[in-house]
This record gives sequence, structure tokens and C-alpha cells, in this order.
Amino acid sequence: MPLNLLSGLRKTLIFRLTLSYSLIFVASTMMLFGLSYFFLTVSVRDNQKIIQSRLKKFTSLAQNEGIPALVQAAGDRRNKFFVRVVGPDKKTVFMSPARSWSKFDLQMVEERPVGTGWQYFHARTDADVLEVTSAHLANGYTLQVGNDIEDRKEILEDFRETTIAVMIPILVIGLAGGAFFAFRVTRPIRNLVQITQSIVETGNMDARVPVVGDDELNELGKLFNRVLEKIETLVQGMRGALDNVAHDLRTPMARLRAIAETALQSDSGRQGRKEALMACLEESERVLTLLNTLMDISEAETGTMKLDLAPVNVSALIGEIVELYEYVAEAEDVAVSCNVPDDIFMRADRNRMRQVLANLLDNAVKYTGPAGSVVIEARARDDQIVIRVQDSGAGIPPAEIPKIWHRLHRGDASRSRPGLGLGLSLVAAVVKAHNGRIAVESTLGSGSVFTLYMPAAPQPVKLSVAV
Amino acid sequence: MRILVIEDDAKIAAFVAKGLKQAGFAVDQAADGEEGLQLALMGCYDALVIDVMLPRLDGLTLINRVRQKGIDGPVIILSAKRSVDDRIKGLQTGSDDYLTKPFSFSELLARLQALIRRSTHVTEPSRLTVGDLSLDLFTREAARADRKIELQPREFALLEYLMRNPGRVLSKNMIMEHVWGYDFDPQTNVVDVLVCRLRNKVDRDFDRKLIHTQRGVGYAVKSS
Repeated sequence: MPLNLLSGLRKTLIFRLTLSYSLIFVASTMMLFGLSYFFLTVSVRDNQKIIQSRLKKFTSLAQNEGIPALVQAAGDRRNKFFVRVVGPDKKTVFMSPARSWSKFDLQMVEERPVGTGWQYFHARTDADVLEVTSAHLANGYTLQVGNDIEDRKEILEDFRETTIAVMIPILVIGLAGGAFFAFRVTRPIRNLVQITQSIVETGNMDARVPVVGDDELNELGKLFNRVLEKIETLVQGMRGALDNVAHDLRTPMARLRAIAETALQSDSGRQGRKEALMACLEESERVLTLLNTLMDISEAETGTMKLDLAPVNVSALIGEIVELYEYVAEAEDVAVSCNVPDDIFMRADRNRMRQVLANLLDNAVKYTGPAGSVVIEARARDDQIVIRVQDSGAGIPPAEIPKIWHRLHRGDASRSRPGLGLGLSLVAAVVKAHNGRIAVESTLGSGSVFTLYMPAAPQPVKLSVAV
Repeated sequence: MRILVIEDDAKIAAFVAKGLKQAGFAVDQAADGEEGLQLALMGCYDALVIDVMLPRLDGLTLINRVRQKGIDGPVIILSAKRSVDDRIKGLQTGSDDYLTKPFSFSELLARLQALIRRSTHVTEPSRLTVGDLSLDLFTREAARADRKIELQPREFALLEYLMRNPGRVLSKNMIMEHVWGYDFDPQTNVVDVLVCRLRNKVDRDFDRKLIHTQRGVGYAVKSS
């Protein structure tokens, strides 16, 4: 169990961050210690050099001025070195006063034969060491010079001990600091994980990641929240669309069923059955159109409608639509006129905008009635293209205006006309998907104006062709 | 003329096969992609009708394989997906036409015949005739019982389309696509209005009507 816990822990980001942090911390501390140790060692070696140079100095003094001069210099109070001069008979001629070097057993120094290299004499009381070297003088005399290296050697040893003692708290501090640091840094990640987990478990999309500050992880949190919002809109849209489709299909399906059932029950003969079948076909056609339009609306509303955005020449597009409705308008005795400058462009999906304008013109022509007129105007205003479709129809009662955008809403005036009641919902959804806006003004008795505000596009640069 | 129908839904397959046989085609059927591919690779079909979602091997891959083998007869895709992207994907794969389910059989038949006509390079007639109605494609003049009929461009286009497919019911969608080149459904049926105008010019003064309405399906020109 603890093993499992450990291997689980090993995988966590916090653990890895803590470990790396404390490793770096401990490593750099150790490096610092190592460096100090190195310099201390060097200074110990320096000590030997100093003793050696003093030895040389005394040697040359003895050679130039004789032993008495040496003895005098060695006995001087300023001399901080241990000096012993041994005669040819191995008897001590001079030795630094015992009181300055009382820590050491000077008798042992005298007893020990004079060596050639470095000799060490440990103090009686503490860990001090007297480091001594020697040189031969003329006439069989020998000179010994030394110094107490107690402080340096001891420091070095202390240093080693302290290092080991200090390493433990350093390790603890490193681990604790690392853990704290890792814990703090990973807080946004933990929030994210927690929120995601709660969403996965409960399916509730309301939760949002708390965002404090502006660093990268909080930026991630913000982006995650935006993704959540998008998904939420999408899911809600899909749910709504499904409800709508189910609801809206029931009526025509019921009609379809009724036609088929009536035909089966009645004894209407061959012709009657044929009529019923044709009615079924018509009804199924309507169902299909309804379904397609509902899908279009929900796609546009949820932002999943694929728009092939490009600069679209407004005048050409309106021209096409007016031409499409030419005969319809003629049949309804409605005069359609356009007032659109040639060189304005909007950023839109050509097919979708064609559908939008066709729906608006369709409505305008349908509800204007004989001897009426429809005027389509467009102009560029700032970075928008404003398209007005004005009819001289009966107008929309103020109470009905907010409802005209609802799906399947059909005003009293329109009930007698064929149509699904989805035209304006589709128009509104598609325009919104283009980041456009649509507004309506209506005066009872004198007509309505639908105004589209679409994003303008710069006039596409035509490649000049030499003629 | 031999046609291969690859469709896993037994009802739709039977419905299509029956209709095609009635229209005078020899029809073979396959219920999954692998079987369909085997048959198609024999290369003895004048056209293929292929469902996109098939068991064992999907329709688009199947078309790809068939095209790789150098078989370039007409292919019509049947699919329940109606988005423009899916259409484009289907057409890019190498199919010649794309029909969304649910579809009307007469539309499938008309499209199929148009494709076969194109692939077999039948020479273009300069003159179309149905009963006593004639259409001169060069001078762009129409006449019935030797009486000249004045037609506007869209009316002419519609009549030409109907007369190129005599006796065949053309759906409103097909007419919309063919006469205006749009594939969306305007609310008021502009097609109805255009047909009505054409009727006034072609049929009003005659007892024998040539333009027929098939309710729920579309329109056709026939002399009987």
C-alpha cells in the first residue's frame, strides 16, 4: 500500500517539481561548500610555503652572518615562528621559548631525530598541530622552522563536520521549499483538474475555473472557461434544436398519418388512393424542407454553420434575387425596384446571403398585395453595409413584432399563405452568424422596413489584364 | 444499359431497382461495399448508384478504388448527409452527381439518364419536339401547331429542360438548380410561378395539355 502510494506520488507534478527544486538547492549548496573547502585547503598549503620561505630566510642569515645572528633573529619578539637550531652534536643550540609553544611537548621535538620532510607534532591539550620543516646549515648545524597550523587544519575538519551536519537541514529546507513552491505553482492546474473531473462526473457544465492573475496557467484557465462556454452554448443549442425538431415534426407527421389512414379506410377507389398518395408525397416534401430549415437555423444559431466568407458584390447579389422573384412579383402585381450602388461589397457567404435576401423579398412581395411596391436599397455606412427592404404592405401590429423572429410563428395575415413560418428565424440566425444584425420597423397600414447591417468588405482588387 | 445499385437498405435498394427495371435498365444489386466493389470492377456497368454509408467498405473508398482501376462510367452517390462539404467530398472523390436521402425516384432517374447521355456522347439535337410543340435550340424559338410562342429566357430554359427529358418528372429542386443555378429552397415556389407562366403560353389555347404536374414530385412534359 505505501509502495503504491509512493509510485502514485512519483507520477505527480508536485512531487517531481519538489524533487527537482530540492535537488538543485542541495546541489548548489554543496557546490558552495565544496568551493570553500577547496580554498581552505589551498590556504593550508600556503602555510607550508610561508614556513619554507622563513626557513630560507633564516638559512641565508646563518650563512651570511653566522649562527649568532640567526639565534638573535629567532629570539626576536617579532618572530612568530617556532625555531630550533641543532648543533653538530645533536644538542639544541637554540629553541623558541617554551612559553610561546607551551601547547606542544617540546621535549618530544628535541628527542625526535630531525627529518628531511615535514614533521607534525600534536599538542598535548587540543587538536593543534605544529608543522615543522628543516634545513642543514654549514658546520653540521641544523635549522628547524615551524608554525602552528592548528586553526586551518581544525577549520578544515570542522568544516567537514559542519557540512555534514548542515546538509540535513538544507535537505529539509530544500524539500519543504520545493513542496511549497510546487504546490503554489500547480494550484491553477489542480483547479483545472478538479473542475474537469466534476464536469466529467456530473455532466454539469456550469462550473468554471477560478482565475486569479495573468500568468500562463491562468491564461489556460481562462481559455478553458471559454471552451466550456462554447461547448455549453453548443450543447444547449443542440438540445434546443432536437426539442424543436421533435415538436415541429409532430404536426406534419400527424397530417401524413391522417391522410394515409383516411385513404386506407375509405373506399375511394383507384383515383382516390392516387390522390392520397400524392398528398402524402407533398406532405413528406414539406417535412423534409422543414427539417432542413430547422437544421440550418440551429447550425446558424450554435455557430456550427459553415460559412464560406468572401467579398460579395451587394448590387449583383440583390440583382440576382430580384430577378429570381421577377415573375412572382409580376404575378402578385407588386413593383420591385432597387437602389443599390455598384461598388459596395460585404463580407458574407454568397449562398447564405442569397437565401436571406430571397426570404426577405419573398415576405415583402407576399404581404404587400396587388398594386403595392417593394424597394430595396443598400449603402455603405462606416464599416457596415446597410440593406433596407421596404414594402408597402399592411404592416405588422406592434405586439407581433418581437414574435416574428420566433420559429413557426405566423402572423394572422400570413396564415392563409403557404409557408413554414421559419423564414425570418432563418434570416435572423444566418445574419447573426455573419456577425450582422437585422432590425424591423413597421407602421400598420403603410408597410414594414427590414434593415440588415452586414460587415462590409474592401473592394476586391481586380487583376488588371492588358487588352 | 446495365446499372449496379450498391445500397445496404433492402427497401431502398428494392425500390430503386424496381424503378430502374421499369425504366428499361438491367439492374444488379449489392448489399455491401466489398460485394459492390467486386461487381463494379468487372467493368460491365453503364452507371453505378452508390450509398455512402455501406457495411464493410464505405462508398467513397469504393468509388476511389473503382476510379483507380480506370473505370470512369457515371457514378451517383446517395447519401443522408446534406451539407455542402459532404457533397463536395463526394464529388471530389470521383462521383458525378450527389443525391440526398430522402430522394424522389424520378429525380434519380432523370439525373442518371442525363449522366448516361453525357457519357455516351449522344449528338446534340438542334431541335426538340414533344407532340405538336417544337423548340429550335439554334434560333431559340418555340412553336406549337406552327404558331410561334414568345418566350422569355427563363421560360425558354425551363421548357428546354422539360423537353430534353420528355415524359420524365423533374422535381422543383432540379428545375431550380437547372434554370437558375441555385440550390436553395425559396419560400414561395418561384418554380411554380414560372411553370404557371409557361403553361399560359404553351397550353392555354389548346385542349391537349402538354405540361403536367405530378403533385408532390414535380413537372413533366408529355404528349399523351
